[in-house]
Amino acid sequence: MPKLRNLAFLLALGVAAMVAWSCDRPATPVSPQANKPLFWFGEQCPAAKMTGGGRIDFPPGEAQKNPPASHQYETFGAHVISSGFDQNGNCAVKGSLEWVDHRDEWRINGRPLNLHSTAITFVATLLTGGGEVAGDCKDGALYWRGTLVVKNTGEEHGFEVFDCDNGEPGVGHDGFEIFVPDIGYEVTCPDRRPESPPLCVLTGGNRQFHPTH
Amino acid sequence: MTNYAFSETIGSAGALKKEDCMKKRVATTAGSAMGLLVLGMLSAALPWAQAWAQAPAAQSFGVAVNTPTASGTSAVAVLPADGGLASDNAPSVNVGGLAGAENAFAMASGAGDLDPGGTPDATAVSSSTLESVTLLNGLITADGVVALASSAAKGGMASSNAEGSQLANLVVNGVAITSDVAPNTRVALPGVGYAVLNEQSFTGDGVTSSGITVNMIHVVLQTVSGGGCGLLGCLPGVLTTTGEIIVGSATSSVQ
Repeated sequence: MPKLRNLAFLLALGVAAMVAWSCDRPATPVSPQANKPLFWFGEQCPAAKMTGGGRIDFPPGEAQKNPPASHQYETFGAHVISSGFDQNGNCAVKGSLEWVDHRDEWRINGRPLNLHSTAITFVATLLTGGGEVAGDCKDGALYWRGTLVVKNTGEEHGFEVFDCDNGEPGVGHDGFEIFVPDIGYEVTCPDRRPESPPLCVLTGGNRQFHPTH
Repeated sequence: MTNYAFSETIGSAGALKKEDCMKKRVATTAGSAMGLLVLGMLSAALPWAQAWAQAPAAQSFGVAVNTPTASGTSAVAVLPADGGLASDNAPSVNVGGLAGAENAFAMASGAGDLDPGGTPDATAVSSSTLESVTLLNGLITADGVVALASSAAKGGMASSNAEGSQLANLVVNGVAITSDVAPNTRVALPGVGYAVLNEQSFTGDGVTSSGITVNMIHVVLQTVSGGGCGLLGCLPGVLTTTGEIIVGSATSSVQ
């Protein structure tokens, strides 16, 4: 019984911290309007999967392609799967991310910036204020984070992803954003709709949320 | 195995004796029972079997050359059978002097499941990107190539598309081809063969399955053998395909 009580206390503490963090998050590109968060974190470590990949063009947020010679685009593949909490209370989450930014300003020795995940450590659903799945992500939305390596340099950093499945086809509908704070890297979009996470729209590919796996 | 042995008996004797018929009935009954047992075991494993049936497929590559003198494929990504992500890259690609490119990246990702209602819920996406592409000593060049294939099955519908695929500053046999290239554009390459640009082929029924392969540059190498003119007239030569070069390929499918 004491063990159960301790576990419940720890869980409650974690949930409270999560809610406080999501509500009080300072103004960032994700939540550009202070005191008006665009989303809340929902269930932590849900039994869910998000997979697929595609392309995002600049300026991000618009469903328009740039000529490949302009290098103003990114391509990526990403796969995250969570089985819920294990017996020790740890989130059983795994997955991988491959990200290539073809922009000239991010090239290292002439090579496009190439990020590859080394571990996925956390995942949570994204909700709007009404407690529903994030607006304009009608099939599901996830926040996940972990560590990655910059393959151009071998440096390892933390990263965060906001991931959105807005039905089929994914092109022009689904969204994706990535942050690598250590190196000041982010592919984010302006606040397109006040009720939705301001995610960058895919100009090719698909993200698919799987509620079961 | 038993039934196969009886077939031999039938063949050698020409007709079945009564005893053989009895043996056959026993063997057939035993075979049927075994079959039912196997079916029962498969049914017990149905959830696994259904999950397997939703397995998506995806693969992509940067450059593939297949000729009698040179062959090779570089920057290849193949989605694992149980889904996930695969990736590969090559800073520089050169296959036999026939095809060259820089900064080749290939990715393939996807997964398959059943939704709570029991309908397929699967996606597969693959992409290939390259820069500074040169084929056949400059006969075809492109500053950039993006091949992107995407397939999804959800809510009782399945579809595929090549949205996001592009060719940049493409020049074929000295002729610049601007803007987007229409799917399956065929261009003659005199003395060499022909090229199909933005080659797209679809599979599936659009309900339970769908797939697409997009090859942004597909060169088919051909030679003419035989033929010629003599005292009695001229005979046409025989066109023979001797090889192919594919640049920027992405395939995806769900079922």
